[in-house]
Amino acid sequence: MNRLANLLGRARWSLFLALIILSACLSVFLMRGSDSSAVDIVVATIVILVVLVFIAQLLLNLAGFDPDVDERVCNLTSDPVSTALLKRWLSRSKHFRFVGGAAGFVLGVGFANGNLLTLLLSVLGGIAIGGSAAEFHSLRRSATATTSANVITRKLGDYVDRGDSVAMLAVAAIASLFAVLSAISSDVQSGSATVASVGALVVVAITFAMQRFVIARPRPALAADLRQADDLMRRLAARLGFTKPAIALSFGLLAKSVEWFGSDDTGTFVGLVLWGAALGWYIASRQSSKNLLAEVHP
Amino acid sequence: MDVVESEAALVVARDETRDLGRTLDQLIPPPGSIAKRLVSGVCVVALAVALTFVNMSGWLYPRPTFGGNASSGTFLVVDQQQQWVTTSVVMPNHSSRSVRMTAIDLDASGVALVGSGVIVEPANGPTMADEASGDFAVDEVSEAMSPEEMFAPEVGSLPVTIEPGETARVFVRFRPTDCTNVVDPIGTWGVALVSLDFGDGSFPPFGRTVGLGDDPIIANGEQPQLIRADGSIINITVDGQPVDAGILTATCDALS
Repeated sequence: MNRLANLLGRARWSLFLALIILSACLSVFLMRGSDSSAVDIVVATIVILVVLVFIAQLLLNLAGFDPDVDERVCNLTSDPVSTALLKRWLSRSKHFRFVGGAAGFVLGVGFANGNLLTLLLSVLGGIAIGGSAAEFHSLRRSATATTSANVITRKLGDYVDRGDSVAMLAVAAIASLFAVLSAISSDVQSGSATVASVGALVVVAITFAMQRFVIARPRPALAADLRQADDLMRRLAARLGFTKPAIALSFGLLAKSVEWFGSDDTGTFVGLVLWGAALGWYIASRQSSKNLLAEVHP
Repeated sequence: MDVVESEAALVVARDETRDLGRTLDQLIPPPGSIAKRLVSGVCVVALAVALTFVNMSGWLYPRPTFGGNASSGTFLVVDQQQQWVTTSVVMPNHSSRSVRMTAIDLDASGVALVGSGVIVEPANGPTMADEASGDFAVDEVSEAMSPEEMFAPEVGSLPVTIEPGETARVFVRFRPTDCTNVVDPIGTWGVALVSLDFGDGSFPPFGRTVGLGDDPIIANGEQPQLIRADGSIINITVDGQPVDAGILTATCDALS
């Protein structure tokens, strides 16, 4: 990974030039039979270049290429052991989240019927599922046998953000209310609203279970510095990794429920507020240096 | 001596690194190779693409109207003798799979559906009647339906199968529920609801009701023409100006 990052970093201008030449050759080849002017060929070259750069970016991200992971981790800790551990987690989580988000986008295109908000919901769902899937590694049989165990009791409250807990409770309360109201309503689309509300409740329940799973998973006896690094990894996982994306998803589901249930001004306003909350939690869930630092030094 | 010491130091450092790697492996697995991750990532997205394709092409559940719209812009034919109004809306099958229409309903306040029927137009050219199936009562369906054609379709010919590329012309017959207290509709009114599935024993066994919202009886308040069987227009004045009365008021006047 580092070698690839170094190579791409050193040879970026050469690679870009190669892409431009490739695009120009492709555009000339594709337009050779038509009476195209030089301007047409230049435009085609630019279009092909944009497409090639997009495909290259997509493939690099699908391969989990994370060139700035060193920079992000060095802001969190200076200890080499902790750095190694956090680099593994950050790269893994980012890769899973990107793959989930990309799959969610594709599925959204197919299932959203052109509704951009449903497409956004699908992307949020993909990111939340990807972030959660990245934490299931402990279910795999480890190649190295654990010879001793750490028996320190870990409490949920020490790892989970209080604001996230409040948001999850709020989502659960609002979703329950919407589910009941839409279930007893005779509105044509109230069935979809009920499904979306129950979906938000399920997301909250799964997130709570995931938090317990990640925080309580077994840990071998470790040196103090590595134990601290592992604690930080669990805290980041339980906050940025999957909880905040899941909260963003559940707010989005509530917004869709409102959209299907009520179409008056109040419904529109509540829907906007819920979408705002969803986007806010998504932005807070991004694994940027700023967000990571905020979790380490609140 | 120095060389031996440095070699020993290297071995110790390598062992420490290996031990650290093993310890880290217990906490989180080591990252796989780029090729492995690329393959896994592409596989997940490819699965999503496949699901998307299956859904958009209508193989997962009936969605004939996805990816295109159609409107017929036909008129309403008043039958004073039978006390009903007949009109038609279109449902194109843009999907890649044939769908079976099992029921027709009408979402229109102030009227009650009294009958329905369907004629299937092929992808290219006019329809020849499939008399053996009894689905159709006319031999050919022109793009703009004549009053004779509008009166012709038999009721109760469902279910009927619409192949990809074909268009179903759905006939609905309705009459006002209460002509003494008429409330004329505002905006869009009269959306036909058709129940669709893939047929008996088909997989997946999903069915759904599709609202033909692209082709309502009244779109955005535009008053359609009410005509008699002989083709004469009802809702215009002797000067040829459209009558201001709403559709239900005009219909009740015409039926009385």
